[in-house]
Amino acid sequence: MTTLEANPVTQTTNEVLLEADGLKKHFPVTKGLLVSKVTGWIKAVDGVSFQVRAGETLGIVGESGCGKSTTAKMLLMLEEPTEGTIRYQGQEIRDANSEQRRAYRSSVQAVFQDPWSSLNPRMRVRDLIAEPMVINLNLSRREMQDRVAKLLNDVGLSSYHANLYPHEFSGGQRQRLAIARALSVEPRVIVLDEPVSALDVSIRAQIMNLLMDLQNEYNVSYLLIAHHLATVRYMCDWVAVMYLGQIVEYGPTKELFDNASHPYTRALMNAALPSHPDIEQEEMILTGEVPSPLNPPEGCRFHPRCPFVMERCSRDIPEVTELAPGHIVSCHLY
Amino acid sequence: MTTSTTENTAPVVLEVDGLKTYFETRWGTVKAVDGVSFNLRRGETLGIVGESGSGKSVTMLSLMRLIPEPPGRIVDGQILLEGQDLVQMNDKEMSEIRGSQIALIIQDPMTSLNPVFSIGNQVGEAIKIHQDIPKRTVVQQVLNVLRKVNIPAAETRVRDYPHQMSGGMRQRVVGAIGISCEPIVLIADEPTTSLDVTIQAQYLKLLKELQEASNIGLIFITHDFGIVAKMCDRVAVMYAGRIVEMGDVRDIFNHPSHPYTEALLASVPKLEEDVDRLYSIEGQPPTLHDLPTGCPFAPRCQYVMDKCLETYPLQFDVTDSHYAACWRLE
Amino acid sequence: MAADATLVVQQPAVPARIARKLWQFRRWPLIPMFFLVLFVFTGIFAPLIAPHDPERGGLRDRNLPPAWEEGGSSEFLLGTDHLGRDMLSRVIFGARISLAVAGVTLGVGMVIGVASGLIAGWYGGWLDEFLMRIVDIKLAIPTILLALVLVLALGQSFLIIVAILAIAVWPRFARNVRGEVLQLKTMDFVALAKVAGASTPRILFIHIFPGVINTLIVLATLEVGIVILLESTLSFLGAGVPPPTPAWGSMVSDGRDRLAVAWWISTMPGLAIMLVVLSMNLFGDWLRDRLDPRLRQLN
Repeated sequence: MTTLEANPVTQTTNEVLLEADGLKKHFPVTKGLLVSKVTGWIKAVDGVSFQVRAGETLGIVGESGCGKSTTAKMLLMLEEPTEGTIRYQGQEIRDANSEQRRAYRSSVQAVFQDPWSSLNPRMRVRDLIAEPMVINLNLSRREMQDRVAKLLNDVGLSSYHANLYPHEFSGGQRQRLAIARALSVEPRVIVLDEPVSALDVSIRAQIMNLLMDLQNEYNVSYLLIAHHLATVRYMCDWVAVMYLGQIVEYGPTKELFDNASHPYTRALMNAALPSHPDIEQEEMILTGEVPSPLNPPEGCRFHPRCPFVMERCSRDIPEVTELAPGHIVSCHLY
Repeated sequence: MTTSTTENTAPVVLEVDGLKTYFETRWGTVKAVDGVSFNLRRGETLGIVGESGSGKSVTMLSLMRLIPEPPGRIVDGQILLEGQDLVQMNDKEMSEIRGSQIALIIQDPMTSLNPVFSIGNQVGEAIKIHQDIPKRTVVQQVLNVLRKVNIPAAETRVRDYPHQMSGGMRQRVVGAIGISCEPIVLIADEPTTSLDVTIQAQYLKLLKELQEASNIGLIFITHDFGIVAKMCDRVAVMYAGRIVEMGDVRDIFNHPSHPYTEALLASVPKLEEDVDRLYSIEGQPPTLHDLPTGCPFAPRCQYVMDKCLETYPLQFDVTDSHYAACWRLE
Repeated sequence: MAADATLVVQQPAVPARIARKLWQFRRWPLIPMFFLVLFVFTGIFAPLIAPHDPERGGLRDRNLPPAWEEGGSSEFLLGTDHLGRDMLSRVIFGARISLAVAGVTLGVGMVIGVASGLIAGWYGGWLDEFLMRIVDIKLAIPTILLALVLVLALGQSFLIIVAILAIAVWPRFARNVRGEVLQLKTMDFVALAKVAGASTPRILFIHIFPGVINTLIVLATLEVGIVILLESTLSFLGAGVPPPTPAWGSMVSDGRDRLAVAWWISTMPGLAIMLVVLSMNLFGDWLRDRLDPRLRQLN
């Protein structure tokens, strides 16, 4: 991919739009019926920092329960962070006044995994797509209509679809509608939570390509939440690998995929399915399963499953090491 | 290029010939499976790949004789399991064979286990139904089977209920039930879609070991070419109720001869290399109750010819063990 | 990529569509619907239809049997009661009372039920606990007992009857709506509305409420029968709409002592209650099957 190879340097010069710093989300575990008592905390996200740059895509990969979806929810203001900050164009969201919060809301939109659940079945397409505009922008009916028509065209549908209901569309088309809706307020960032994994295989490439085309056209940044590594490699400029609420490795896509360093990242890559029967995979199948975020392991959280575990791994929390420009890993091996 | 590395000469255990399963709906007859033929040898892994509506799941249900009747019906064809035709069997005969000679592992480990019985109970149930053995031996058998699927501390876990186990463990129990009676043919229907990547890898490895140990004929029903690449010896690609291409796995990956297979392979992002832009297949899978005449893939095909719109293509051999249904091969 | 735009919504040809529309009627509950329409129609237009004043009778015409019985008169098709009042007119005006009570009660009960269900389901927490405990308490007290006590304490009037019956019906609405809301609020489209900055009232009324309408309609049809039955029971026990207003329940009660000599006094209003309630239930069942998309798929 020539663009990637050519400009890892120019990439870093892109303006930072959205920044998470030490983000934490702990959910209380309560006991008792009438008078509930907090008996523990599920540390769904536990100190996560990353940057989304203008016009680029950051991918967050990890298995279920790693906290990637909770992270997305915090950025979308669907969950309040327990600790840490989210900054949008340098402005901290927690301190923002209602006007700034409003601006943030229309600057950060989302597309979710399940196209059957993400469109209200009782609304017509034009109302669905226009809803964010109705709430956030002051447009006339006419302008709104024109914009819906243009959006439908941009996502590969036609303007006459505006009068239909969501159930009249296939899964792939519904995902296009969801994308059109997200784009309607011309956001700067779109959070894509597994946008293709619920779609038929032959439709996935359509949607991925569409998203990449729209990124150029609308100059929008993506935060892609995914579990499928190859999808991330295809779509992202930056990748963060999460395990049990923390980022274990983070870097520019090509660098990270070529020099995967954290044992967990390497295990993920080895566990991923090959694209050709002749590809020999290194035998590095992790034993056991992801521990509960209620009682995450001491020291490095990955150490109970790590094939390279050392004595200090169960004791000390690993430092963050920069292996190459922008490529950081937190592991005692480095 | 390379034909399959070892020519498989093991006996054929399952032979499906001209299978047609139709559904009567208010929109008319839906030909969910429309003339599917393939065979499976002992110890072989066959992948049946397709998208939603391709007929792969109905094929699977037909093999198990689990088609809901009505609206569905196997209207034609044979399913020969070691020479016995499953289509001709009555329900009682079939229920003796189902689970013991031909078994199924379903996609969702949450719904395929009963939440009110312990897992020991459920695995034991499967064994008791098909084998006439004393109670004490059933317990032994259950433990054996659970150990086979690598459930740690099987002695204590037999008393666990499904909700006390993780997704990966539950899927292993489902697998254990599948192999408990040492079937001749095991069908795995998207067995790993609900599992995480690392758990999936463990499970696939386990399935492969089980198959090699008891020489089961394994059929993988999947939409994922990655699973095919990793697990299968041969592949059947299904589209709109028919097999459009079939062959050894390397032939399919190296020389996809049906435009649909070719396009699907090109549209999947690869982990091993950077791809500038994925090939994307236009349109979407057809609706089965309103199939176009001619080749159902024609509206999406980049090589479409006039003939494709008129007549359904015949099967053309690419090599001895590889065919595709496409007029371009004529 | 735009090829996806060729929409695959196949619409059958026009004649086929009409045929299909007509064909759908075969499953319609035509007989129950006929009785319901009759019920509503007579209720509304009672003064125009009824041949006699339902509250005035002549003592000479006491206990006349229906027209087809020996001694019956074509002037009083369904006979007369012990005070010589025309049964047909009384049954017709009784429909009016039942209709009015059922309509107002359901309206009030539904508004209270929907509001508390929406609030309980959406906000959850202590508010939910509080409202649902009230519902539990209400559902644990026998309605008739509560009604009798309240009538004794507050007196007998149309408004009080309606209030009592509204208390009887709202909990079921509240509980069902709450259940639906709990499910709907986990849908992605609700989260996306929040992401778009939608206010809570907007989400509740535009995204959540339309999703519970089907349930409401079905529940309402089933509750109508219950309300009519309750109202009749109260009238029968003498705690309903005060006489001489002709309520079906009190008419059944009036004829109770004369069953041996004048069976029609109890039977006619009794039949009316049965027909209306049965029709309502049959219609409600059908409506539920029809509006529930999961069941609709089946036929």
